[in-house]
Amino acid sequence: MNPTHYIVLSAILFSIGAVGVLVRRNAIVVFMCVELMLNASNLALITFAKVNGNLEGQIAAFFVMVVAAAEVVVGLAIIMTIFRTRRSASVDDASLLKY
Amino acid sequence: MSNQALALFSEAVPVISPVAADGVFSLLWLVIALPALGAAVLLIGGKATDKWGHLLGTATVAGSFAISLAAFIGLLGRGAEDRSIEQSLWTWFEAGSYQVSFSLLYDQLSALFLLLITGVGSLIHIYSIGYMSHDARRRRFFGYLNLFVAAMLVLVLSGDYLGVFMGWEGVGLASYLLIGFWQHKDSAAMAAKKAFVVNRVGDIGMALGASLIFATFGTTSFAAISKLSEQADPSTLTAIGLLLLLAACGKSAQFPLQSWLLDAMEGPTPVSALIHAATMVTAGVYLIVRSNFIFSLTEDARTAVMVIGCITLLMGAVIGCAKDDIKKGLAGSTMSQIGYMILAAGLGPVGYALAIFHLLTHGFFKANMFLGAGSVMHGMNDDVNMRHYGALRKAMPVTFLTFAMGYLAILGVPPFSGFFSKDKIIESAFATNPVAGMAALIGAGVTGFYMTRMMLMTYFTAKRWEDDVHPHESPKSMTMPLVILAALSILGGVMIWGNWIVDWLAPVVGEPHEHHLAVSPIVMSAIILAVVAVGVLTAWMLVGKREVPREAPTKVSAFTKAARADLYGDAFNESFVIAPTMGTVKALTVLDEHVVDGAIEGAADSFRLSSGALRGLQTGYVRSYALSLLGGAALVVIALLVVTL
Amino acid sequence: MTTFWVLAVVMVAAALGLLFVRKAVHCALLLAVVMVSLAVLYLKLEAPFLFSVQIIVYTGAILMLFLFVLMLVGVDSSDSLVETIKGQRVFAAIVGLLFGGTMVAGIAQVSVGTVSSGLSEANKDGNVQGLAHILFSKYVLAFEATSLLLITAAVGAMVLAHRERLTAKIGQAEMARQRMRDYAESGKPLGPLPAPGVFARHNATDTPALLPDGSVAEASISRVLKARGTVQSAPALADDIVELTHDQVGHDAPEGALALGASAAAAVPAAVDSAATTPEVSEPAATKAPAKKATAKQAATKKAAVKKVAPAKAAPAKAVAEKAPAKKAAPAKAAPAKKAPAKKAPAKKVEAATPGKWSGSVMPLVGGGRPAGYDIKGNENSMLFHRPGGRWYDITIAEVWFDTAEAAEAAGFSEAGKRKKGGAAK
Repeated sequence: MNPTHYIVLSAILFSIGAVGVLVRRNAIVVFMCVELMLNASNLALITFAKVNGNLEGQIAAFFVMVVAAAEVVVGLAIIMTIFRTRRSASVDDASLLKY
Repeated sequence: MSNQALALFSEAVPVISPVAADGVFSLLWLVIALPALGAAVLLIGGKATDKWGHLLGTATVAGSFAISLAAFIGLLGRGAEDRSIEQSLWTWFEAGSYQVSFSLLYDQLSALFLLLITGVGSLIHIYSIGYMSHDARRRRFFGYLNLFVAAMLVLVLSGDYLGVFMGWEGVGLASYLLIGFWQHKDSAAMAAKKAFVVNRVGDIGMALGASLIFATFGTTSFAAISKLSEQADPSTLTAIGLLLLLAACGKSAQFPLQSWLLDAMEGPTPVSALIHAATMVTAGVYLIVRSNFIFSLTEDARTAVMVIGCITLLMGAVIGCAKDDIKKGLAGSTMSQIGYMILAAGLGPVGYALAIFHLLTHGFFKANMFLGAGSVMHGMNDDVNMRHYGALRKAMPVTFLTFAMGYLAILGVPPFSGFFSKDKIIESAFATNPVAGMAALIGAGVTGFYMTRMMLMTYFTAKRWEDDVHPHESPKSMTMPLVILAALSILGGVMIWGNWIVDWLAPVVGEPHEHHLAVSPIVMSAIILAVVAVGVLTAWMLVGKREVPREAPTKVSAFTKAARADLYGDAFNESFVIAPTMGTVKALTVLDEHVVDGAIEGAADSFRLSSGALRGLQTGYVRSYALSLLGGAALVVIALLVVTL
Repeated sequence: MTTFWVLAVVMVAAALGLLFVRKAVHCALLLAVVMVSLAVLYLKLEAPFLFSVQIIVYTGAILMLFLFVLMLVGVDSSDSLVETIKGQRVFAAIVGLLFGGTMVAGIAQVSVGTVSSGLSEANKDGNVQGLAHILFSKYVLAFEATSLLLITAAVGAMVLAHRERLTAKIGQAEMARQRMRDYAESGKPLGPLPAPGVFARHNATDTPALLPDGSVAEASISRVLKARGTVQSAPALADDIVELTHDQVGHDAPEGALALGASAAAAVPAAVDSAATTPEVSEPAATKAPAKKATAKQAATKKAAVKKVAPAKAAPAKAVAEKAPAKKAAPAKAAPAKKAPAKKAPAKKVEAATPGKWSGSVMPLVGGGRPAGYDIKGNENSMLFHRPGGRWYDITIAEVWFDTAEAAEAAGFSEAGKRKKGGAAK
């Protein structure tokens, strides 16, 4: 197997996730795209673990997952709260903090 | 006094070393506290005190007078070395090594002033009861008068320049309030403001003088300075002297700060008599005499004092000649007489006592005449124009007679008080400086002219008053003080009996050196009397023998016009002080608006515009921010790539 | 290697789908595809523990959380795909491509290295054991820190989701008082709201109750149903009643059946109108029953059956008359006329019509009769009009009569039954 392929795949997924954050307006979908980016980085970490022959990369991926879980919990709670007050899940609607 | 000191004329100044107050002297603080209490009660008590306010006001001053008299008698009973008494009340404030205690210095000089202020003050309070009886705000008037008396007493009793300064400002305030007492009149309000502003100029001199004294000696107490002054640098002493002279000019209406006094006559007549004739305006003389330990050591400052005195005595006399307003005429006279005092004070140790002597006699006769003028106004429906008077001697006999006593006194006719005080000054002036002597002599002649003119226009010549005016004698409360003051005008000269006042003041102001006149004093007096007689005769020729027109003639000499315009004092101020100041202010305003504001607002504008352009980036859309974030990340990656390749 | 290529294509396709699909639920499903595929790749990369964690935690827990929130927020909260920020898409695409392109180019430039021995050495005691060994020795502090993080996140989510009660809870006593107050102030009935459904032929929560005067009791049906426009018209079911009675009573008691039918009709003013005024209008009511009989199997079952009846109405009257004896129809006409003497039936009496609000319209005659020359019924409440012979023509109470359908349309009315489903009630 060629690890470069995995890394390239990881980069592509990451870019797609980043573009998704930029273009999607539904806050939940934006969140999903963030998750996609995290997953892409996980793939890279695990690939590096394999390349280097030790488990540290997998540990790092494990921590990323934990942090992502925490992040999702809080993030979705925030989305819920915003939706409750504004009746909208669009990230563009929460744009009061501007000039 | 040693021979060496005599030779050097002014090398030794008397040292003030006061003893602690005891007995009757421990009541000294009451002299100030009584009128202060009266002022507080009357001004804070408000309308509740309307009924008896004037009585309380008079009583407090009379009480002060009683204590002053008792203290004076006690002082007479002491030896010359014990006559300087200090009552330390409390420590006013201290800053580092500088400690100012609020202490009263009661010595020969203060004693005389105390008697003058409380004595004449009491009489004028009594007079005011009648004079102000129709005024709805009489209680307030008495409150202000009490405030004035208290402040003036602080001024003369304080043993420290700072205390003097406090009293100095206090009398300024009281003067402002009383000149503008009839504030509904624009002229009175303006006059009050003018007096206040012009006095501020003098006060700057006082403040700077006191500061310089502190910087030089490290203390502002009279007693301490009198011990140190001989060691000070003469030029510093001169500077202090000139600053104190500026202060004296402001308060005593001396040239070039004389312009406020004539306008100050807008105040009620008792105010003119008490403040602007007898007491406050003489504070400048007091300051110079009290600071003899400065002035005695600096010839230059003394000369300046003398010059100012000469100029003012002539100016005041000339202005007095042309005024038809009886009070303004008297105000010109006051200026002139204070000029005499300043001149005397400028003569050095020989003149200090004479200045105080003339100050006292002038206090008597000028207060007398002012009150007399007030009495005349009282009978003439408050008309002040002498051209509307005439032949009042029959209608107001008491007023006329008392006024005549004052008249004779100011002319210097023996044996009236003015004869002794003024002649002595002129003599001493001749002995010290012939020019000053000549100025004083001419001033005496002019005094004879304008006083005679006033006398004739008011009490003699044909009656010119309106049909509805019914001149009548004033009530007892007004004539009684007149009588007392007239008596004092006559008898005031007794103080010089056996050189008493000179000896009395010598421990404070220094021993006068012997002066040698070319002619004997008798001849000198004769010359002075002759000059005065010339003035009187001229007045008789110009005024007494002719018909006095009801309207002031307009076709008059340039000299008269100048005198009517107060020798263009106001015009001078207007064009040389006010106009340049206003011009500077305008220029500064323009500068401020265009240059300073322009720079600041320009900077602010540029910031505002640039931030206005930049804030467009803050759209509030998270996705826009995320886009720039990703753009930045892309740039980092590109940079990494470029670096590694 | 095949696994990789297949999964890579699937993943990239699914990820791209994430950018383009409209519904958030679909996004979640696409994400699930990516995640499961990643899990498989993890397995291939000798990470069996992370494989299971990826599936259990990511796909199982986190994605389910997403779906829950989607449910709470509203499944239909799909993006409108119109971009609001000018140029955002274009720039996003450019920057995204730039970023991805440079990343890929960069990775291609550097040598990632080759897999020498793999993880066989590290995994020799088992992957989980190996991970555990590192995690609980070298990374134990970080591990504890994540526990703090998780607990903080849980508490934070609870705080965020918590809703503070802003007003006091309303108790029974307070509610009772409020009800009495409403009654005193606005006359709101004290008792329960009227139940829907006049006749419990089926679970007719969509059929409003009728008040004694025959008008519809608005309060008897749910607001939601009304908003959806799926409310049945009670009078429309009146013929079912007649039909039912026929079914049950048969021909033996035609009078009673008819009387019942008539009484049902009497509850429906429109039917009363038609029965009381003109024979030709009352005819369908009478003839429908036999027509129904022909389709008795479908009838009496569902609302749908009623619809099927509609064509029957259009059947020629003669044909109907053959099946239903005319004499039986005649009493049917007469009976309601007698039974409802209170109705001031202006039978056959043509009155001058009052002009209506719109051109070509007139107001109904006194008593609700049809003005001559005006055949189209207009319902001002629904802004619908009915042609003669239309489905609801007979049962409609005309607030206004039109001469032509065009006039009705010009007046802003639309023809009943021509509107799209779900578009009603607006």
